[in-house]
Amino acid sequence: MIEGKFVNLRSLEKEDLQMLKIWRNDKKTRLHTREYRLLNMINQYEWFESIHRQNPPSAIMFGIENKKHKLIGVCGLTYIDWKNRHAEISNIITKINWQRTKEAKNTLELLIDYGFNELNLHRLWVEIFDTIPENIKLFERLKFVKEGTLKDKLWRNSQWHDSFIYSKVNKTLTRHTKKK
Amino acid sequence: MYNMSKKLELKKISKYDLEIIVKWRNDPKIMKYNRQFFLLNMKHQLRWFNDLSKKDSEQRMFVFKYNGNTIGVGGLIHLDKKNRSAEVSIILGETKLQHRGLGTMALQLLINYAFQKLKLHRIEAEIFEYNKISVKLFERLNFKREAILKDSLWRNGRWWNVYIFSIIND
Repeated sequence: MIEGKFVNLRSLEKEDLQMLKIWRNDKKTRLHTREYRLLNMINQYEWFESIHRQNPPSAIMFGIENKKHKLIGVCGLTYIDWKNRHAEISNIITKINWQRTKEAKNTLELLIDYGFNELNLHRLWVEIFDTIPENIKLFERLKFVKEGTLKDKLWRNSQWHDSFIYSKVNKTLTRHTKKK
Repeated sequence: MYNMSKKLELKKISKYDLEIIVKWRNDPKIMKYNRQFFLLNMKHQLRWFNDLSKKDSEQRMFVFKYNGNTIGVGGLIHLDKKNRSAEVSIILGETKLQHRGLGTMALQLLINYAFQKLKLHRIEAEIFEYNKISVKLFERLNFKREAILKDSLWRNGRWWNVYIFSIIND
C-alpha cells in the first residue's frame, strides 16, 4: 500500500476487473483513452494476464482507494522503458469532474513520487487528447510541460482530434553523499 | 503504383534477406540512430520475420532493391488502422551508397504506399536530435516537427531529446 493524504494506492486484484471494465467503458472515460472497443471480461482478463507476463514489467498498475478504503479508480505507469527510464502515466477516477478533485492531484503526486524516487525513472509523460482539455489543467498544475501537438492523432465522433504530449523530467540529483 | 522509381523498389522480405538485415541492424553506424540497444541474433530476426506474416501484425516491412541489389530495409510500424496512422522506419544498410538521394526515394516510396495503398491519414517518425541527416530528409519531404520529447533517450552517457515528425494526407 502506498499511502497519500487523500488516497491510497493498492495492488490491483482480479476481482477488481469487473469494476474496471465498467469504468473503462464509460462514455466519459472513453473520451480520453486510446481504446475504441467496448471491453468485455475476456479483454479484461487478457490485459490482466499481460501485465504479469514481463519482468521487469512494462506496466505497473494500482487501484486507487479513498481513505474509507473504497476503490475509486485505477492508475499506473505504462510503456515503462527501463533502458531510457521513462514511462507514461495512466489514470482513471470515477467521479464527475475528477480532474479538479484533491484525490486526482494526490494520485498523480503519489505516482510521480513512485516513478522518480522508487523506480528511478527520469521522465514521466502523458498523451492528452483534445477531447478532454480538463486533463491539461490537471497536469499543468503538477508542473508538466507541453512538448508538442500531434496533429490528427485520433479519430473519434467522425472527426480528427489532436493530442498533446506533456512531460515532467526528474532534475533531482540522485547521488547520496555520505557524511564523514 | 508505389514503384514510382524504376531504380528503387519495395520488395517483400524473404527469409534469405534476414542475414544481411541482422548485419545492418548490428552495425554501430546504424544502431546509433535506432532505439535498439542490444545486438540481435538470428533467433530475434526469425521471430520478427514470422511475426510479420501474422494477420494482426502492426508492421508492413519491405526490403529496398536498387538495380536488383538489396540495399536496405524499411516500412511501417505501429500501424493503427482505426486512426489510420503508422510510424515509418528506414534503414539504408549499404552505407557506401548513402548521399545519392536513395533515402529520399525510399521515404517517398513508403509515403506513397502508406497514403495511396493503405489510405493512411498520418505518418509519424521518431528522430533522435543528433540525427541531422534524417531531420533534413524528412523536412525535404514535408514532414513537420510536432514535438520535442525531452531526455527521451539515453545514449553514450547522457540524455538526448527525441523529435516527433509527421505528415498528414489531407
